Amino acid sequence: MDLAAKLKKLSLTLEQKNNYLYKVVVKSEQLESLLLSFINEFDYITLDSINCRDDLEDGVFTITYCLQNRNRDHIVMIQTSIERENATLPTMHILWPQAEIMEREMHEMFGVNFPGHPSLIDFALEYWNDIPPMRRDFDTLEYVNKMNPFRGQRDDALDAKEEMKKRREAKKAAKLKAEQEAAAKEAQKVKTNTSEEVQR
Amino acid sequence: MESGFYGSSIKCKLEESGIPNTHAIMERVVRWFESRSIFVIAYGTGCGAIEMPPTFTSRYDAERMGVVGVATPRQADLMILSGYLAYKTLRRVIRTYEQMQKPKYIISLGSCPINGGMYWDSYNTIKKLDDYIPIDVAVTGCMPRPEAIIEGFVLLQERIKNGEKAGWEKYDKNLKFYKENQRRVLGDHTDPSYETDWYNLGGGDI
Amino acid sequence: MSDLKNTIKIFHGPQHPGITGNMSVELDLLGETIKRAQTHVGYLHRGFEKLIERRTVVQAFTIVCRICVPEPDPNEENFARAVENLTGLEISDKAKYIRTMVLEMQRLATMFLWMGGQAGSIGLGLIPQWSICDRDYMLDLFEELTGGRVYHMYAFPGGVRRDLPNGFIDKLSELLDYYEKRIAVYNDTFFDNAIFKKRAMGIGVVKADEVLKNAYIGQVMRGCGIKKDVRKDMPYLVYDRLDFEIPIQQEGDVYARALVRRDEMLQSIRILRQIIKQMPKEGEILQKIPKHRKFKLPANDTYVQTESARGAMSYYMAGDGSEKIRRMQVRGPSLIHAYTLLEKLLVNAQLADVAMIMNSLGICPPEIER
Repeated sequence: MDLAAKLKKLSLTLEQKNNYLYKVVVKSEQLESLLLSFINEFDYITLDSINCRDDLEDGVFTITYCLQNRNRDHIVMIQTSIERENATLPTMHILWPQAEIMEREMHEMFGVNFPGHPSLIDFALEYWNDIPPMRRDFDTLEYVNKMNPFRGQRDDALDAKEEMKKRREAKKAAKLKAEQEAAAKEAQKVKTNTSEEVQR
Repeated sequence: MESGFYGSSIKCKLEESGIPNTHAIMERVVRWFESRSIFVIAYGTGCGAIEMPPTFTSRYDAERMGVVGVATPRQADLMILSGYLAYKTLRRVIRTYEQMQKPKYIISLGSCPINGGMYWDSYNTIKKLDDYIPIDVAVTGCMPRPEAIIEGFVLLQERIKNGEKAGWEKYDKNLKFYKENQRRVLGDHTDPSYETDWYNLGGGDI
Repeated sequence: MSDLKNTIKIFHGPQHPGITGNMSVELDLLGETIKRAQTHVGYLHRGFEKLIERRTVVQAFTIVCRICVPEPDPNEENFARAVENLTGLEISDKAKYIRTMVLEMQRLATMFLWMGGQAGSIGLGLIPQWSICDRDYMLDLFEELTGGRVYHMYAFPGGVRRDLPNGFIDKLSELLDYYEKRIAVYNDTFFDNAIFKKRAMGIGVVKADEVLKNAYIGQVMRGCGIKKDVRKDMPYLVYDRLDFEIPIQQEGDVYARALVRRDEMLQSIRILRQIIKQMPKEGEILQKIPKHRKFKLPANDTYVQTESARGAMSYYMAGDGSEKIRRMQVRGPSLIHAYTLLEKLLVNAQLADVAMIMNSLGICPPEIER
């Protein structure tokens, strides 16, 4: 496919995942020019979504722009990595108006800054005063236990693990008893058979 | 119910007539009528709102019990909280509940208002609705079927007819407890009280 | 800013009988004409993506269907297909046919729900009473097949969870005959109704040259004359073996989108009849997969798209070699329609048309903010 050849001239490799999905990994400085060339030269004009992934172990955010072409039969994922501290990205809302709302959500959930964005206000959370909640170092269980007490158990509540253990042991004991009774019956039958033969 | 509830002129006429126990008889009659015309406010707050259209249309008709939908809280008797509540919705629900006129009731659907349900580890939903708003009937299920919602209506009707203590009386008596919980979880941006009877309940001081 | 001078600000708010779900639109009115509109969501935010990061595949499968409340099946299908892409599972023919059948049944049920909402928004109260009852017959079939009316939890990575019960195919055929007669009745009462035509023609017009760039999808795209559908362009499951058409209209207003939806309902019935004829009798229902905590996802990422009743829904999924899902991001069709398109369409519209336009775009708030 000449897409792979054209990208090789820009020293980028194109990975083909299946018959409709491609992936390109690029550095954050060349991101904007690559997106513009995808729109103008290769006819990938639709921005489907902007996805963000927090890689806490490497200290980066991995951002993926998913573009779709005019015939809507191929998707390309353009992936880049930016630093976690003071994360900034160029805003794309002039090229695609739908990028405005996607970048607003990323700003609220991850804390990524977009200089030049017209409206970096609340998207889904109201009066939130903690760190951006989708980061990996935000602990939901701790936050939940701090803010909201759960309802206690009923007065006659039993402990689940102990009950399961008791039931398993009761089953084992019943099985053992059944085997012993079957063996005893077999022994009885053999005895009566042999005694009958002896009588004959 | 307050004593001047059904109009002083009717009360005087009944007392003059010499029939004993007019007060109790009138109360029973008023409660019987009230249980048969419950108006539901149109507010679909969560997941369970998807089983509300089948309950109110022709297959599982709820109108045969007198349950009809209205648009504003000033005309409504019943609010159905269908599922989980995010903090943003909790502010609006409290505001709507306080604007309803007494007597008013709440039915909660699903297991999320009881103990968090399947969003028990979410940072944006409340886990125990009883702390913030008094609930009268809790219908279980995920989502409850229309037949289960209608059973909830019938149970509420029985309670109204028998004159049992309703949630709004609890809210009036323990207003401080509810407001403290709301302020704890909603922060400094809790709305002031929109109670219709705010003059008798502290004069807007809460 | 000067045309906002003498305006009144109201909230077409969360507690309102005329909105599709729990969201609000902040309007600046001059008389009855809207001068500016701003959408507010967040009333249904549960933090789904954070919940899924703490769960394994089997645990996440039980809550994925609740991301979009009126239409849960494309979510399950996307989740199953993304996990299969990551781990390289292949599913049998019979499971593919059953999953396609479930998707088309859900499309029919959602179209009936849309019809009730659209007619109710202009005051025609008869159509919701009919169409929600007709949708209930399909939910009865779902209950027999999967055990639940609204949330099915049926499509699992590797196939489906149980086989078709006895006599199910005959009941489905009878229901499809009934639906064809009913759609003819809806034609007379709703789609040929003079009041609906007068109110809906020329309102909410979307121009065709900006549709593809701004990613307006679904019936918005097809109502402007662009003939694209995920089932034909990037076919998945068995759609490349089935014979169906994609209906389009040219005007791009509310009435055109309603006609596109009616024609899609007829095409769905046609697809379901072909599936009934072509369904294989034998086949493996569910592939063998490792047990609960041993089902590990490789360190890779993928992107899947499914055609739901309102447009193309996309999932981005990434694993990291452990048994928990590293990242799953959902992009529903309503995200762009509710923000970019709605705020543009409502300028210089009348207040009484807000509910009609919102129903026609197919906005469903739970999938905007998950």
